[in-house]
Amino acid sequence: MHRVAVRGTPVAAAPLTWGQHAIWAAIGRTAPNDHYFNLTRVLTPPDRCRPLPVADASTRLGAALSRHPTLRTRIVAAPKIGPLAPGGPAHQEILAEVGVAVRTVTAVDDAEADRAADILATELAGTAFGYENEAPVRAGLVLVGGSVARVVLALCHLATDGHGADILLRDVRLALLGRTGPPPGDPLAVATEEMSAAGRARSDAVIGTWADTYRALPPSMFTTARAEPQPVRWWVGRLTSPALGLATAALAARHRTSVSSVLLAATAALVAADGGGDRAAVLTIVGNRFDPSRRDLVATLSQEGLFTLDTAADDFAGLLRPAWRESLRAYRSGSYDQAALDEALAAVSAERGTTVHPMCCFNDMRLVDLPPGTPPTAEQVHAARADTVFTWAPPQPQVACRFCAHVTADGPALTYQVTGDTRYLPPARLEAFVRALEDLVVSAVDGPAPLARLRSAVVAA
Amino acid sequence: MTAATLEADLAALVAQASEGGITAADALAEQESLGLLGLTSLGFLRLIHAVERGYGVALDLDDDVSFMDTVASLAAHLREQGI
Repeated sequence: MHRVAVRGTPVAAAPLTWGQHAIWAAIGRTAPNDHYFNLTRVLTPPDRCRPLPVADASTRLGAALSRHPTLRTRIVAAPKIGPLAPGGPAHQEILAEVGVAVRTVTAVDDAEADRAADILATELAGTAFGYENEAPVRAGLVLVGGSVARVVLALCHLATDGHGADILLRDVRLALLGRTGPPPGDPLAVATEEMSAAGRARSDAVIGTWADTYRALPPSMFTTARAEPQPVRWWVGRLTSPALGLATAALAARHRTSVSSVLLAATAALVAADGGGDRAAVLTIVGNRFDPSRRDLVATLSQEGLFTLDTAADDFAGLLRPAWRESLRAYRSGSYDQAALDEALAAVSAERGTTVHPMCCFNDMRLVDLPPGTPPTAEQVHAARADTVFTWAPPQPQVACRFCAHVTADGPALTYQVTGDTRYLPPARLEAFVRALEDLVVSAVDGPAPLARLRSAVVAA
Repeated sequence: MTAATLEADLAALVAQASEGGITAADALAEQESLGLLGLTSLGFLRLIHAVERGYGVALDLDDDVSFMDTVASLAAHLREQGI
């Protein structure tokens, strides 16, 4: 283990940004399992910079990390408040220098390096960051024959979101090549904008929309306790399906929507069917990088948006255009003062005499939506069906939600992963849910896909 | 603003929103949906953001959003708002 210095201009303690506040609150709800929010990335150094000595890699890594002030973030207790507690009152400051621990492991060859990197990434992200006293980055190097074959990063979600992690990875790659990326932008401008009159007004408008919607929503999705929870309560079911990827692309093209909104429509239809209703609310993770000045920021900008959909339609196709419109609205509802929103929604719950929270979220983590080229045909979709794989990933002991869908892409395949609370979604029901989602989307490529049969598909489990 | 200028400016915004994935010429020529050219949800949101900033309008997404389908439909929608 050695350390890399990350240096830059310090910034005095200030309130958390809206995105940081959202993650900090989620950390508070999830602790001591809060390593759940850590992000990992693995980079293979470009051939042009190999063989890459450890010393060179470390120097260049330090240079790349030093471009991003948020990677020197430390969380401190808010003034006049006792010791820092996860989710409690907190401020953030940016230090002049932090030391990033770098672990090295060895692998016998390049193929083995992939496996070693995955293991190292899991280990680096396997414990919560020391928010008060540790740099928000941990790094690792996988060596083959004494040279660096992989660079591994684990990142604290208070310093960056997933898009920021990808931008950082791009910068590390360029640094290994001796180059620098485009100017990364100024994360301090985010805080300034949030505190401005215009920022407050935008936040107030968004919060008003959330509160109005919460007044009319079912209090929650997944309200029926169906089983004793499993010993490790949150199970993670993972469907990897080329057919789902092709079918969503075909439907998105046919109905002039996006892959993301097709998946949101299918998720909403299944969520509503699970509860026996015809209105679904899903919290969507919004990247908030629409403004060019925010595009390349390594920072935590993502927050939850509110997606709702009336699912009372005969045919799934009837949901797709409304879901497209609602997804655009949801993605515009994801930037607000988190503390003020929490207060407003608590007031709505008090008005209604019951806690209102969807307990259901959706995070599309793909970087590209609709694949370019001719839309897939029904024949291609059906031919791919045999390659669908469902697996269980390791369960989680504590997640502050009942249904968390994560979407990732692997070539033409989509992976639709659900982390479900087994009290409300026992394992068989969770598996039936994701398989019914694939069935729904795939069958819609052929023609009408009746939504009435969803209830029986889920209930049968 | 002349018809040609508005459409051309919007097509340029589409190209920017797509981060170079779509040319302004292709955006201008697309008759069905900018999504078919590969404009992502993020791209549409960048476009909405840029149009609102650039033209000082608020695009209402509460009802039919088919005005976002093409450059021509977006231009027609903006003209209805006096642009």
